[in-house]
Amino acid sequence: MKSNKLFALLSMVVIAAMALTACGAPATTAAPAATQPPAAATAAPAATAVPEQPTAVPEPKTITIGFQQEPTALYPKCSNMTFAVWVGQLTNPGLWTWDGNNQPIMELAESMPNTADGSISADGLTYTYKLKPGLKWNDGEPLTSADIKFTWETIMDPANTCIVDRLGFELIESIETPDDVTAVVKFTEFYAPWNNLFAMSGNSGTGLLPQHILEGQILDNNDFLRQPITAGAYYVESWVQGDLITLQANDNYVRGRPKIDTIFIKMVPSREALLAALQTGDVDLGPDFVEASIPDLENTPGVSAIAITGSSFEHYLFNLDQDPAVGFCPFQDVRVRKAMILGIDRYTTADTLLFGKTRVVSNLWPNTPVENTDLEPYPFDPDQAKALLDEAGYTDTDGDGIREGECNGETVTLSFTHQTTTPNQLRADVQALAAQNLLDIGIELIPDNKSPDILFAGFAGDGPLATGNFVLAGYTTSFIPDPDPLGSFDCNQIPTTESPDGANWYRMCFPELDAMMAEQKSIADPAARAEIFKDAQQFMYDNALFIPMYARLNVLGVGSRLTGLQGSAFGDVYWNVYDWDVNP
Amino acid sequence: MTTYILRRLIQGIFILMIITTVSFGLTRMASDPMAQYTLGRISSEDRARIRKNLGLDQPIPVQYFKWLSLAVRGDFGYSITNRQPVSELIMQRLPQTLVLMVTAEVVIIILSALLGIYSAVKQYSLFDNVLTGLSFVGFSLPIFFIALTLMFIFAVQFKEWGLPYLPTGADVWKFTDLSELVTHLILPVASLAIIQVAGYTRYLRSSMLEVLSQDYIRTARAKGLIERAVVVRHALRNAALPLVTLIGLDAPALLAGAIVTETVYSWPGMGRLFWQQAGRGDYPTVMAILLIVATAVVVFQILTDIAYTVVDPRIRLS
Repeated sequence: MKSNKLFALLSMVVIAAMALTACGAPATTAAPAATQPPAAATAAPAATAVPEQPTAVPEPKTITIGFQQEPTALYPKCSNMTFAVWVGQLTNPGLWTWDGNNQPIMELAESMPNTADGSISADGLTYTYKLKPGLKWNDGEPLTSADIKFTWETIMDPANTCIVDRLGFELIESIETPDDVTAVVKFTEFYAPWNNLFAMSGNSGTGLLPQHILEGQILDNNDFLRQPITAGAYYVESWVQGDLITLQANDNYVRGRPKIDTIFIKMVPSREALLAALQTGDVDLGPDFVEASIPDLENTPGVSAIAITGSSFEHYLFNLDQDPAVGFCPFQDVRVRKAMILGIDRYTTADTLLFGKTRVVSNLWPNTPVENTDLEPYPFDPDQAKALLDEAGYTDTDGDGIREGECNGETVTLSFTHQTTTPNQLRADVQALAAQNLLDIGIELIPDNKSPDILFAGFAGDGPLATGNFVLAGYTTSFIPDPDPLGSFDCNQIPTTESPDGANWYRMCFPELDAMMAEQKSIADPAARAEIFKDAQQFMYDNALFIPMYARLNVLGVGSRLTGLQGSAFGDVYWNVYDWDVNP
Repeated sequence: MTTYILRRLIQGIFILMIITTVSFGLTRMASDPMAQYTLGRISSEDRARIRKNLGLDQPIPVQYFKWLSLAVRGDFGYSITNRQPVSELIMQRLPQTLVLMVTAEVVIIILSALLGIYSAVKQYSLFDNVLTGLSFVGFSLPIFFIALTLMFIFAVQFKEWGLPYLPTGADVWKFTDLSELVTHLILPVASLAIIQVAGYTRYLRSSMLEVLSQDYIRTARAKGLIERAVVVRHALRNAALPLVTLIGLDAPALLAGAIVTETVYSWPGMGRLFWQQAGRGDYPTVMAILLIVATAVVVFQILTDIAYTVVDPRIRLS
């Protein structure tokens, strides 16, 4: 019968699919490293493990972390994703990392180079790094200063095209290794953020690379990117791409074996599903929730929300280009800019839309050591805002509720678009509130939101921010762990056809600010450097160069089993992972 | 018939050429691979180096022909985000997607055949009316709503109530373990089935009704054949033709996966890979998946036409 043939055909497809599965799955699961004890290598999830002799063999402690996005590689220098940095913090933190108070905390290094003991030379160009003695990679091979040198060479090798950034590494002239624990790093010129190199923070980092594994190899498409050999609290046992990263406790870790034996990192792309999984106990930690999730997390039984006021900030930026064809002419007037800051009720935003868990900020370095805490955020004062707009010559002449005025010889209406990312409920709500506030003082804000990959597209990709094709925009960024804004305010960094990769999306050009930014890069003393940053913040504040909205919250959803998690303003969720434990 | 198939294949190649040109243009315009490098701790020098390394400093037509010259040789190149062969990324996801989609398709066909036939035979019965009502409900609901609701009831609440519960998919499990695979398939397959069965049942019901009212069915009944034989042997055979078309149209989706269902149930399939890499501007991966699916569309349409001749001997291809 013909229908039998159809059925047979269908069955064959199913069988073929099953066969493909059988062939496919083992190939994607990497074998555990040879040196690991069998108990750890075969660790099963707690829920399904049934120990035969509970008194003799303690059940392995496991937790599951739900990642909403999958890293593109497990060596953070070859991926610019925060999720890759987080795997880096768990597996390969480098010489030091930053603790819950944003202070450096030593990992592989004995101490941080300093001027007091001469480990930083008087000219600030030579740094002597000291490793702790007897360090080992997770495969048991010794970790020496040669690996520091090898890491630098690998990052600078043009063949490794996967390397995302070489910040600072390109300024290293040479690295000498007089013995196994000493590396003498010589710079060609002074580099203020030197302590960001070979270290791991919450948003960027460089773990060391093992010379004995990678000597003579290139990183692109190297298995090392999927299963690196590392020296952190955990090591990568396997990565089933699209699904699961399995981390095992590293017996060779410098602080000793961590308390939790196995960490599963499960890819859970849906935030709703992640919340359900936290509730059922399938997942113990969701590290990437957003502010809008706080009520859901707090209302879910067995789940708690940790909201840490971060150093990332949401800000609205003016297009300050002096060319009226590119910039918005009225924004050249400081009174208009100040009126807009005074006219938006940022306090209600923080208190209601952000549940009172964060604060309005006055500057772009909130909750960092260089923040100028003397600066009070501008108040919400619509009357003063209206007075400033009147003074600047913008009044409602035609009675439509929107102000008009003369700018550069032409009549300009204070009606313009505001571009931020979509879909993002919080941003949309804040935007709606701001639009209402501004309308009350005679300014019309028209939402024109775009998906992040369009809004943040590069100059060649016609990105509105990169090309200056915007009037007012809004997004989040941060200048951590080092405060250097990487040219974000420099005149020569305004993106143009000739230099499309410039970082100054504000399109501002203030020689005073340029001078301050150049000076901070040349100062070694952190306190003196912080003073310059505070002066720069004062300048930005007085000139109302942007609208700082609020400090972003790092929102973690934590299940009832996990203990010891602290987090930090810099977003270093995993800095003390060796102290984490699970409730019995 | 051979000439027919050859002609269709040659047409198919032209169609694929047009599809690749259009989708390359759209993919490259829709998202800029550099978007992910514009914020954060990256200097302008590094951005320039990355752009050059990825070949993004060249005009888009040049990028297209470079891609095409490799693709025609079956080389999909390297993912620009993961720096690993695109074929590797796809082969990791293909088995998972096939298992989910083929299981769902089988369930959908069996269920809608049973319900559609029963509904037609018992036209205007209580069952038929209820089913018709439910079909419209199922057809109108968005898939994310169905998927999340099923998860909330059968995974979250059932566990809370102390009943046997199903997994959320966000738990750690092994694809190779058959019993785990089955329990993890139930909810995503049910989500996909609710929507599809609703539609298919309507098609099959109406085509069964049409066939059942024809003269030869009356003749068959008059011969004294039992009702089951009339329905299954005589009516279904002819009524199944529209279903073959539908399955033929659906078949490429077996490879493409289901973006929403895979996302909600953390299913590591092709739909999610496509969605994720599209958002990251990874055009080599996006183009490879589009090309595979487009090829499947062309091939399955030819196969559908051939299947017509099998199901309905009156149809001759020439």
